[in-house]
Amino acid sequence: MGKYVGKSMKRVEDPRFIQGKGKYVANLSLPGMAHLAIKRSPHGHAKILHINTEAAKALPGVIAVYTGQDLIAGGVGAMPCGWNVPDIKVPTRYPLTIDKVRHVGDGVVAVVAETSYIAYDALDLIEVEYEPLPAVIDARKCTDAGAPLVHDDLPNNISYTWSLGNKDETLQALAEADHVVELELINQRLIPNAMEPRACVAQWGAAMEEMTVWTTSQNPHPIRLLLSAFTLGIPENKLRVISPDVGGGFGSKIFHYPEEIITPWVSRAINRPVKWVSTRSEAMMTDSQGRDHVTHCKMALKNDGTITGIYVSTWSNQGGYISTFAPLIPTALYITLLSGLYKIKGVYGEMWGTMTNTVPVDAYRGAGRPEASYLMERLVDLAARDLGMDPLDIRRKNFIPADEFPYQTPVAFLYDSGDYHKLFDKAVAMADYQGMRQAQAAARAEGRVVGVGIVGCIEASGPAPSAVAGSLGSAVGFWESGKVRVHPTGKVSVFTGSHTHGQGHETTFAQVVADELGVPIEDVEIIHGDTASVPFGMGTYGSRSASVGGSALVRSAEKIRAKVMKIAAHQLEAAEEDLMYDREAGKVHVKGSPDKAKPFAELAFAAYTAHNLPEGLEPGLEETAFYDPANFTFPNSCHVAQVEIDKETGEVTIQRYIAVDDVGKVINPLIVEGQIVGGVVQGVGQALWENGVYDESGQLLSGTFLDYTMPRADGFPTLEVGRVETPSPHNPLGVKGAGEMGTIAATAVITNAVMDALGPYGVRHLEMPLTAEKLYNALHG
Amino acid sequence: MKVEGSHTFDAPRDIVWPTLLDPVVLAKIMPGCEKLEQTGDNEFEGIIKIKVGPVQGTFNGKVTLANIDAPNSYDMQVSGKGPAGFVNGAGKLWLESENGHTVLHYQGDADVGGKIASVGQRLMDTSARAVIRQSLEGLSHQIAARQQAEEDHTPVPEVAAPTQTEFALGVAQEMLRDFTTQEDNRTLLYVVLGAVGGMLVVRLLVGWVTNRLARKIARRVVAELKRQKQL
Repeated sequence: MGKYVGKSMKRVEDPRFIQGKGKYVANLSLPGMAHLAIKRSPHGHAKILHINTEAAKALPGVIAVYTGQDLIAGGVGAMPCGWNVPDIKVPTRYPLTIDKVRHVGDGVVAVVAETSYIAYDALDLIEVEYEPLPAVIDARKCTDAGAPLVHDDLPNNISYTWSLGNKDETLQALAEADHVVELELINQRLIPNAMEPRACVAQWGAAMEEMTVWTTSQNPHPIRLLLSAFTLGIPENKLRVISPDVGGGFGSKIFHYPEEIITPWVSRAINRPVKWVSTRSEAMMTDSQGRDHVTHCKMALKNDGTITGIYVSTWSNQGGYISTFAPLIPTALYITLLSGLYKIKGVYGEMWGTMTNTVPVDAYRGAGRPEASYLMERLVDLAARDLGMDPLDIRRKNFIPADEFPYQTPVAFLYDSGDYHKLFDKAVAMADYQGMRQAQAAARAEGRVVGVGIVGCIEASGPAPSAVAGSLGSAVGFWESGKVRVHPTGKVSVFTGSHTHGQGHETTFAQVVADELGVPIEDVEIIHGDTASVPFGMGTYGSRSASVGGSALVRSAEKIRAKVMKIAAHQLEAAEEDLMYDREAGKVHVKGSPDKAKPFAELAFAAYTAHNLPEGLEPGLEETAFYDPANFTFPNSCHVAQVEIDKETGEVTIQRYIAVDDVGKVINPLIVEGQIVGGVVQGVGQALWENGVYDESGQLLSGTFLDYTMPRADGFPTLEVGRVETPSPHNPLGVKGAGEMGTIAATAVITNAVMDALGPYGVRHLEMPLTAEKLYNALHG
Repeated sequence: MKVEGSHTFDAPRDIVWPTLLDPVVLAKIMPGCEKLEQTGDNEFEGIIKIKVGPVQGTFNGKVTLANIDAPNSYDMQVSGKGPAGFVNGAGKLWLESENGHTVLHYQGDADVGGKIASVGQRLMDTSARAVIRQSLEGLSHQIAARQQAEEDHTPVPEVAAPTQTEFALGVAQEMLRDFTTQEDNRTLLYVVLGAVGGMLVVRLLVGWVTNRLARKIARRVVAELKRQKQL
């Protein structure tokens, strides 16, 4: 193809990040800026009896103190849900709670002061009288009769239920099966830990009655929409939302958060710029968390290993409130994936979205898909064990054949492309799977505890065709915008509605546009994250940026090329069809005579001088495209891991990790590899270490890095990353999502490897995280 | 959080019992207790400063006693809160006589919340044990002093509450207890403290020697400069 796409290029954004020159919200300082801090609930569940703010108000340096009632009186609206599945009951949530606190960290009072130190001191002077209430924390037990209600208007703590698939065929498959594998499992709660905690700065411009909000969001436009239409009430044309450099999100920065509403509201109330920056402790009890499923699942098989059905029932913990996109995750991003890589006749999933006294749960890297692939790949492994088959063989037996794509699953999705045998061939060869098995046998003979895991995972990325999303409950569309502005000198500014907070858009999108227009990559600047300059955009999540955002840029670049061709045809006095747009050389020439040419920059200049344009052609060279994807893309992966468990300590060592992914065409292999590696590390974190734990009264017990174990580099060998490529037919770049694949496969493969190691000890299944203590006890009975 | 244990006092029950109801005594023996006052029949209110790992804060608390069966047992309700969190608990305390000694048994269950639970979780049990232990040891001293005073017909002397440092040492001791099964952990504690202290002494010595050396050299340099100037 072009000069840049497909090449490993170092990220253009890295020099500024590495040198500490990134522009983050917390670094922003405006003249006269005041500082906000939030008084939070120490209880999991309690009634607010009385709030006394007098002492706080009297502290020198405190500007104002606001309760939830003050915000409502000041026009603040309830926080909406952006994904409304049928018959969902969305409990009312205000940025500061007014009646009860529903999780530790729930905001109760806001203080604004001259410095953040004074604001924090003032928090200690606020007296909140609580009546503690019994709490519920478990996704399933909270639905028991007589369980305390998190919201009085949600009986049994159920907000919604959802199901999909061919239930009758599935039940029939289970009834007629030679063998049924049954498993109860927990997909534990995770706390996302972006390197940069959330922050918000707001500046009210009284003269123009306009508001600027800087916020650490993955999607500034939807935040502006929600602020304007639901929570803050400032008209969209008077509201500018900027998400500058953002230090990681992993999903947790998609959602509309209370502080994003309170900060601008206070700024307008006191007519001064206001800043709020989350502490790490606050982040652990206010950033939307991930996973937290309790699942019962069954798989029906024939004796030869053919999977005939899978039936899944899941209770999905939604936390104390319904976060912005929470109902999407365990429904359309979870049950729809329950066919995996396999051709299964009966697939059925049902779920309950339940309320508990815990931090709200929403999308976290992978979002629904890791949960699906985890249970699927656990079931397949257990089936292989029961039927005496090799885990590799049982998978190969059930793959959707390469010639059956596009493949319609029983759970709504139409898989675009894939060749799972080819994918596995590559991984098996890279891993030397048979050699691994032999080495394992030898190690076992020596009394060592060694396991091998292999998984095949499917992902649906790049959400989504807007009409499909709408029919599934989305309140917004999922298209993306791209604007390409060619300046008179031929330099290019590109405006994208997706957002980069670690993904490297400034590099990859420049590669795409530079190739599309045939200009040097240095001439292309990527601009994102500002509602004042970007037309509109849906932001970044669900591994959508390249397939949806990138495609929008291809479309607008195509429009630029079409206009440039018209100008060239006019100036070269040739018919358009006789011209050739040479993207390598960056010029338009007459076919067959490369000398009769006009360079790109000259044509751009001509577009602006408008001295000699074809009749009826508008001056200027700027085009916008709104791209609505035709389908999700379906990346798929085969990961292989070899682990050893230390008998004396229970500690797991990952000896080898092989990741082979089909993410379609690749724009920048270096960045894709980085995404895969990062994802794998995060997925292994869930398998081995991470666990968000609450006690019975709703106290968060894993509220610091002392108790919440993050993966570290010393826990990993060098990961061996490989690729196969089946281009997605649904987008002009042929790309599939790459950002979440690692997370989706790693959790399952590590658990399978550890369970494989424990097989001889009679252990069938252990819940994650597979800590040393758990494994030691499993080994020593 | 559950607390449970016992402590033996070298005194008869009728000496031990009244101290367990005396706010003046109790305020003295509890590490971090800044105030304890009787506010009602069986009600006490007070302020206690607690440090658990990185979290420290002042708690305003209330203790209510019930089912008082003198000189045998009582139940208690404790509630306290402050910027660092809250504690709500219920417990039971009873005495048994044993060869002229008195054994105090206690049992309780407390809900702890807020910062102190989320940040100090890992150190909470040890800190709670240290508070109880030091309180009871303090009480032992207090009772011994009382007995002595009674025998000598002198006024009861003041017994000082443990200092912050003593409390921190107590927490460290409790942590060591978790790590070892040895009967006397004090030895290990002293070894560790000795090592740390030794290192400090060496560090100071080295600093002193280098300082002296540096001064000596500086004096020589200055003298040399002066000499050169004179030339």
